[in-house]
Amino acid sequence: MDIDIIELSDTKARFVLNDVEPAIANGLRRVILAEVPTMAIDYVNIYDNTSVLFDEQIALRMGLIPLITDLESYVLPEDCDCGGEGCTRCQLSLNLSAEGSKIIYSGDLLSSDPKVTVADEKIPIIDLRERQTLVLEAVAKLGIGRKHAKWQAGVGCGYKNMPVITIKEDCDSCGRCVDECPRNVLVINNDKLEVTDPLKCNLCKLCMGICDIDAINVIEKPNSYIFNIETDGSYPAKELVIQGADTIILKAGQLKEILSEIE
Amino acid sequence: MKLKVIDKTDTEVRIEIVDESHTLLNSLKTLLLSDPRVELATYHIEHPTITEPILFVKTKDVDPIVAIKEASDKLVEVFEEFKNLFNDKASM
Repeated sequence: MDIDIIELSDTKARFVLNDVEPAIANGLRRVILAEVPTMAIDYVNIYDNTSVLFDEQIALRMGLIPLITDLESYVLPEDCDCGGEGCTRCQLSLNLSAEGSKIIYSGDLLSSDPKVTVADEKIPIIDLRERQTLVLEAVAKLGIGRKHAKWQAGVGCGYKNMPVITIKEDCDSCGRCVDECPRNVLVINNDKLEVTDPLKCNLCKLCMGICDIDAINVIEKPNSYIFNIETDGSYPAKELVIQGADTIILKAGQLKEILSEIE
Repeated sequence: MKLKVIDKTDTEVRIEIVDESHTLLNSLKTLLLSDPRVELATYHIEHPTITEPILFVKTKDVDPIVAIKEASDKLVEVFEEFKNLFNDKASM
């Protein structure tokens, strides 16, 4: 196994994963998309709502606000000692109290835990007019993306095969493949066809189709994948990938433990 | 996670794995098949929301439960290796 990191920022990761089975790469993709626990608002007590939106619509908007997740202080409600009833180990509350006229943003939510706050303070919730008020208490819990998209930490996670582009000696540099390529991967430099950035290639093979003399060839490199991961802000991208791996390790460990009991 | 053993003989086992999906089972199946003592390993999800996946393993010369345990060890190893490698490269 080998990893080359191409780009790594707080919200995005892009890396090449070499020499792994397709099933392992897909396992990693699936776990990041749907199984890494994150914090999201799950229950909303609305004390006063004289805005133009129904309570349910506001509750949905609250649910979709990404919250910075702290897995050390919180556990999933189903794994909690309280049995999911709700305690300080498995939930926290966020309060909002606002009066018009102004736009209410996610940053106006006051969290009871300074470690768990909104990931982005500039998400508009509602535009309140004069004399309209909104007072509510929101309860946030940990959950997984398989249950609801609001608990999805990796909002964009996918991979493609690593392209290998080979140009044969008999290429006459006619330049038709350069015009045909939608990703501008090819370029003619000093009367010679060259590949600028093979990672940009999306393996559409239009260049192969347009070439009369079959001088260009594009293939997928086996067991090599370019991963693209984007987070909603609940974890930094690096943390999300590591949490993804940890989640699978935990699952495999649990399976082994239960099997040992059966034997 | 909960397991329900549906059938078990010396060389075959059929287990229902409650609350799991392709995420774990597809990787596990691939690793089971890389074991030369495993003759057949597959799983089936009849319906993605109303039924639970069923894993079927057929082996020779080894208890199928042992083979699954070894495969889950291998899965842990693979992801530990990935995690450490990613952590090293990301910290550089």
